[in-house]
Amino acid sequence: MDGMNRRAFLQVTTGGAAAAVLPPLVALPTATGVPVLFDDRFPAARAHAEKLAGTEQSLQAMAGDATDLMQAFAAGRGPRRLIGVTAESVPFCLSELAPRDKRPRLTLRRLDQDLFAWHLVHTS
Amino acid sequence: MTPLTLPPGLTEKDFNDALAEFRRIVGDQYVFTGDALSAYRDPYSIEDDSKFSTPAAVAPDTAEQVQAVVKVANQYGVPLWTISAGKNHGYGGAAPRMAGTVVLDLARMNRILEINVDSGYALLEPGVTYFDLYRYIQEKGLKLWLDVPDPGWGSVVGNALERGIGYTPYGDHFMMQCGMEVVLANGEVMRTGMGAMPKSNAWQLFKYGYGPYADGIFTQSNYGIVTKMGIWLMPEPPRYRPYMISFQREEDLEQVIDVLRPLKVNNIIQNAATLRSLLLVAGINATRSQYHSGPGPIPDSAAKKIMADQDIGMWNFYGALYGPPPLMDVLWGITRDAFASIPGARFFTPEERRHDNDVLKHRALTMRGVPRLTEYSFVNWVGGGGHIGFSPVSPINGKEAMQQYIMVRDRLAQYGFDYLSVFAIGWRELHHVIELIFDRRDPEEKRKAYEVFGIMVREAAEAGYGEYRTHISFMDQVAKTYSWNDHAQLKFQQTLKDALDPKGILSPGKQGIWPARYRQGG
Repeated sequence: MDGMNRRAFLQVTTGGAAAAVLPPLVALPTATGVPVLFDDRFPAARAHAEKLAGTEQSLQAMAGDATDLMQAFAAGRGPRRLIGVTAESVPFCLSELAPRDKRPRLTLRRLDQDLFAWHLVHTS
Repeated sequence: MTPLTLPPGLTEKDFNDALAEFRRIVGDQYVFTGDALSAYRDPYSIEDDSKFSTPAAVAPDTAEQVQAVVKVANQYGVPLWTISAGKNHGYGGAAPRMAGTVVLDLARMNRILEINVDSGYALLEPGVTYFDLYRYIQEKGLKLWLDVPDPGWGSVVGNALERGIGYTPYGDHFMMQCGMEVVLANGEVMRTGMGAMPKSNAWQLFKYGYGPYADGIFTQSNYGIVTKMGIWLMPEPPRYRPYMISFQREEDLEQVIDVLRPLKVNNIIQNAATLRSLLLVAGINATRSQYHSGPGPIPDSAAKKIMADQDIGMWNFYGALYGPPPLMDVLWGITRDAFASIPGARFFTPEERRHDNDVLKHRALTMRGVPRLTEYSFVNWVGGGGHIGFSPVSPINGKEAMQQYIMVRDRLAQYGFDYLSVFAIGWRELHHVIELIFDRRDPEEKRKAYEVFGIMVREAAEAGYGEYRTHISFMDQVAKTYSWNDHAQLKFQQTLKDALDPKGILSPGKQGIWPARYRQGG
């Protein structure tokens, strides 16, 4: 297996939006008041999240089961946007849980073998 | 924009005319084309996506709309692939088996039609998810439990029709199904069992009705579209006590299964308990790269470190007790004594586990019917991971479980994949569900996953182990492994198909059953 491929930065955009070239990590779209979630089971996640958040955004640890967050977001309760540094199953589940005709727009960037920086925005 | 793919024999004019009719039936906003169809892809496809592409999706809201859509589909010869929640991930998700099939999306049909607490059942439409039903029961304060698969985001009806499983005493979902309403390929609607008797109030109470038992032919099949289904719900027990038993050596599998069998057959183990491999448990909270960066399956040294870090065994049994405390104490005494015969066996309750994210704490929820998404984390074992399920069945027999395990472990290792699995203990059988995890952005990994999966299907069948369910990429191959008496079963299934759906519009190719018009080259 090609180690370089598995560590390459990739960009994936789903939810119907056209693929866009992602800017450098620190300029991933943020919005005032939207915390940057990170999975504290991965030591590198916090470091990536701090770079992403810069001085403007707050960090929020998100460990283990994100079921409640996922259900709330998919149902349109809570924030309209989410930003995170986690394994890919988190943004995948957040996106998949929403009704098929109301999928949020997901922008995803692979940071390393396991972690992805992502930005989800409700479009409905 | 992706070019339009139509099924063989359908002209673009007929497709567009049918689409216009669909729009008239369900409304413009519920017929989907173009970019919206990204929601109907298999996110874990290990083949070229175009093989399973759809040109449109239509989402009806009522059984009457389904009937009308089916009649139009018949008129124009448009094949329809039925989904409910479309969360059949690992088996194809929402994607159709045959390119060009229009997806019939039943997610809008999400009404909970009835819940009867005294008799313990619900009557549901296919769009009701486990999360929906659980929330409803909690909000109403009903003393009923669900049985949920893991993850729990799918359709209650859809999962039962796929003969999926859960983890309470009601874990065999199709066994707990009772009565259905079906729209047939000619647009007629039928009710099965006692539902065929007008004014019957036993539709969700007595499974079999009168005459041939039809419900089974609508599971894992393409003979009709189920628009309502009854399911039995477990009364909330007086008490509940989950537990975990870990076993330290790989070779313990044989003895564990042989100890399990009489416990299960005699109903000492009350629920659909599971025996999970080291890495399936570990993968909920850790990733492969945290333990091993080289190619190939993880070495023994890494396995030992995982065992120490997470305090789990090479095999981990998750079970639960249900009932009044005196009953639970007796059952636990028998269970514990039986498993204590295995050297190194360790027994835990959730309170005794160190970490907040411990898998026993998660399983404690699923074994009491609380739907969660925690289990989905196992796909992160391989970064950017997707999964496809290989699911052979065997007796509850230690030698056979060991034979299956070694066969699969070694074949996966040959291709560089780790072994992650669960043995789900059924009434008389083991479902050995192996999760083949691969990096879904790596074409070479996908190619290897496809190749090794096909080899495992063949080798398992040669040893007499058939799959209970499979991915759309392998439905034809698996159907052909059930070949007793010159494929008598498949010929029977095709005969039924031709009789019930002569135009071949319902889910062509599902489970390897093709209508006559596509049979030679679908």
